[in-house]
Parts: sequence; C-alpha cells; structure tokens
Amino acid sequence: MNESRHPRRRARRQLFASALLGVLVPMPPAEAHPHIFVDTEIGFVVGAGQVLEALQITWRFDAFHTLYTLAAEGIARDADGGLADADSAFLAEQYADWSPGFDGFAKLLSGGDSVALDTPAGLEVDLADDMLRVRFTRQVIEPIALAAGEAEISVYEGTYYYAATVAAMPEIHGEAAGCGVRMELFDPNNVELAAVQTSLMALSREETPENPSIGALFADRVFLACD
Amino acid sequence: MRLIAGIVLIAAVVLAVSAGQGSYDAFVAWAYAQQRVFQNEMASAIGALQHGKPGAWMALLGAAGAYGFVHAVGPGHGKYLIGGVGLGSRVPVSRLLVVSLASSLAQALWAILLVYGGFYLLQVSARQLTTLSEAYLAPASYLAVAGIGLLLAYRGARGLHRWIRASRAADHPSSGHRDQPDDAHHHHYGGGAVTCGCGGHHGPRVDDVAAITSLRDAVVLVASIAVRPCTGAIFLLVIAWQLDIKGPGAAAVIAMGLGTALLIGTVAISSVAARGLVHAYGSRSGILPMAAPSLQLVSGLAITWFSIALLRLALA
Repeated sequence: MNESRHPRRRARRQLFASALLGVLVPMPPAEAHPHIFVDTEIGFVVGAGQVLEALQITWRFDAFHTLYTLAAEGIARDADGGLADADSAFLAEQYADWSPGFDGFAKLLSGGDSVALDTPAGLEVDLADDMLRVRFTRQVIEPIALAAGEAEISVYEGTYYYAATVAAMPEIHGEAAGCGVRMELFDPNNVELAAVQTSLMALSREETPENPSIGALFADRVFLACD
Repeated sequence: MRLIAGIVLIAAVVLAVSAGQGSYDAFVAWAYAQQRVFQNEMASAIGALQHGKPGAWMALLGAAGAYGFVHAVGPGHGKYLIGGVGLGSRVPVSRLLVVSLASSLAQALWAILLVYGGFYLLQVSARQLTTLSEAYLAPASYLAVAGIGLLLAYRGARGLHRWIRASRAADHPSSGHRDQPDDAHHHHYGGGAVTCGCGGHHGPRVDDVAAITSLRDAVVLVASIAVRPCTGAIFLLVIAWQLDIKGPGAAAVIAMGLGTALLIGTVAISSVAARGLVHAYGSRSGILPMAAPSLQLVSGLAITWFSIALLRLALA
C-alpha cells in the first residue's frame, strides 16, 4: 500500500511545486509608479545638408503637479492666472539645474547609439491651460547627418516616478525639405512589447540603462528621417 | 477523481495567471491613465474650492478617493505584504481587511501629521518633506516589509523542516520520536483528516502558519506600511497648506486613504480566497502539512524579493 502511494505523493508534490512556481513566477517584479505626468513635445532643428543640429523640447507638467510646484515654491498666480515675470525667471532657474545623469526625459539615438546633447539653453517657464510649461533647446554636440539614417528620440524616465509621454506629432524646423517624422507610442496591449517589458523589469535598474535601445522599448519614440 | 479535479483547478489558475500577464500590464497602464484623470480632477476641485463653488468639497473628496484606489494599483502601499500574508498565513479575511483599512488610514494620518506638523512646528520646506519621505521613510518601509517577509519565510521554512523531519520519522519510526517527544500533541488537523496511512507522520501545527494572531503582529504590519506616507498625499497637503484649505486637504487625504484601503482590501480578499483554494486541494489530497508551510515560505520570500527590489529602486 505504502509503495503504491509514495510515487503518487511525489507526483502530487511535484505538481504542487510547479503550480506554485507557475503562480508566482509571472507576478510582476517591483517597478516604481508614477506621481507626475509629463507631456512632451519634440521639435527637430535641421540645418543645411540635412543635419540634425538641435532639439526643441517642451514639457507640460500635469495640473496637480503644477499646483504642488507653485505651492512648494510659495508662488501665487497673478490676477490673470499666469505667472509674474520674476516667478517665471525663478522657476526657469530651477528647471535649468539638472542633476547628473538626468536626460530631460528625451534620449537621442542615431543608429542605435546614444548621441550627446548640450545642456538646456533658452529655458522658459509659463502656465498654459493650468499646466506648467517648460521650453528649452538642446544643441546636438556633434550634429548628425540624417542621410546616413534616421534619428530617434526615446521619451521615458527610468524610475517611472515621472510618466513622460509624447503628446504631439514632432515638428521639423529649418531645412525641412525631404525630411519626415513618425511616432511609435508605447502600447501596453502589444503582447510582444509587454513580454519584453516584463522581462526587463526583472533586470536590476543598473542593468537596463547600459543599453538605452532596450530600455527604450517601453518608451514613446519619435523618428526623423530624410531622403 | 478528486485528484483530477484538483489538477484541473490548479492548471486553470496557472493558465489564468500566465495569460493574464499581458492584460495585467494593460490593466496597470489603464490604472495610471485613470490616475492622471483623477489628479486633474483634484486640481480642478481645488480651483473650484478656492472660488467657493458649490460641490467643490465633494468633488475633491471623490477625486481623492478615486485617486487613492487607482494609484494603489501600482507597487507599494503594502499590497504585496497584505497579499503575501493572506496567501501564506491562516489569517481570517476579516482581520486582514481590518489591517488593510488600518494601514491605509494610518498612512493618511501620518502624512497629515508630517506635513501640517512639519510646516507648523518646524517650518520645514516642501522639498525637505518629500526628501524625507522618498529618501528615508520609503526605504525604511521597504526594509520593514522585507523583514516581515523574511519572518514569514522563516516560519514557513520551520514548518517545512518539521514536516520533512516528521516524514523521515515516519520512514524510520525508531529515530524520529526521540527528537520530538511532544509530537503526539501536535495533531491539529482534526478528525483524522490526514489520511496518510503512516501512523508516525507528524507535520507542523497549522497554528504555526498563523500570523497576525496578536495585536503586536497587526501593529507591526500596519506600521511597516504606514511609515511611508503616500507622495500623492504629501503633494495634496502641501497645496492645501499653501492655499489655506487645510480642512478640505486633510479630509481629502483621508478619502485617499479609504480609496487605497478599498484596493488593498480587494487584494486581501483575493489572497485569502487563493489560499482557500490551495488549502482545500491540499487537505483533500493530504498534502496540506507540506503545502501550508510551503505557501508561507514562498509568499514570505516573494514579499522580501519585491521589497528589496523596491528598496534598490529607491536607493538607486
């Protein structure tokens, strides 16, 4: 009797163990969750000879975070509901001060390689539709020849404390002839991407940023290509 | 027949969970989109409140409650802890619901105390408050939760160890009983439910697998979650203090806590139900003495794993 029971017990044990694993393995590992939503808009500045010279970037912080920022800095809106010049200038100074490693929610890639951008210039802050709007330009330190291949910008923030998304079709400024843009917005319903995202989340945070094109798989992406 | 039914049940659960992974991501994405909607609604309600518009109070409370619910879908807020405890321990669902509610409300009250108290008594800046929360209290909470996970895993491992020893003792009756003279008193499965056909088979007492049996356990659980105030609550309280709508701000944060409690409560109920399925199958097939501590061990390790992952993210 015992001999006939034992293999069955073992089989049950194995079944049970695999069931447990099956239940637990697909559970999502930890990721951060967003507290601040940032709508971004990208403008490509193209120079003569189809060279990408600079990016014009706009952030719009959600209305709740806008209220928080104004409250935290002790800034009251003026009679028109806008910002006083001094307050705009003060906020511009704050937003121009980037901590090391911060990429402004927008990573520029060319041929899959990360491209260096200069510090933000001409930074302006105002209120638009109750949202803090920050606009600035970043020069591409070594301008990219677009004839060689398309330029790509991945919009995301690694820790997901900020949920940064592309809010509008990118624009081309300057020598736009022969150049076109397209967007690929992250779709969580895309099973393939979702699977990649799930496996990415299993990596430690230190592992992902080394290959930005992998991290960018779950970001919104915009592309600029010229004939 | 029962075995087949059990296999079908477990296979169905595994399939549902695996197939649900893609839709889980979609669900989280949906929840974040909703969070943004309710964040905007809170902002509008605050504007309406400042202009003394009727209904602004209710709009703020409603938006904050909904925000608390959808925001808690993301990691943190004690979901893994409550879910893991519910899955791994013989805790009644009512008690786990009380702990869910208490932890969410304590988290809200702690946020109010921290922000209003910090502004009033210590004249701290909003930035110092968020830094305190993100850089110190969040990691402290993750550490505490990881500690509880380890404790849970330890209890499970101890139970499993006992079961293994008892199984060996069943195979070699002469050696096992010397170590455990009290084992005869440890059959708590009642009514001979363990029909293993091996007279000397002793497993862990089911009581060993119980958690939150004391007020102390409950307080530790609540404190480990509540020590880290929700960032959304801090944002709202800073706004409320600055715009001098302190009363509505505090009330809205309590509503936010109730919304969070509703989601955590759902997790609590689901986890207890899942444990019920496993235990029902386990006692039918006679593997409960192994299954219960295994479940506790694995859920304890899972809690620890998630907490350490969040800790690394917080410290990175």
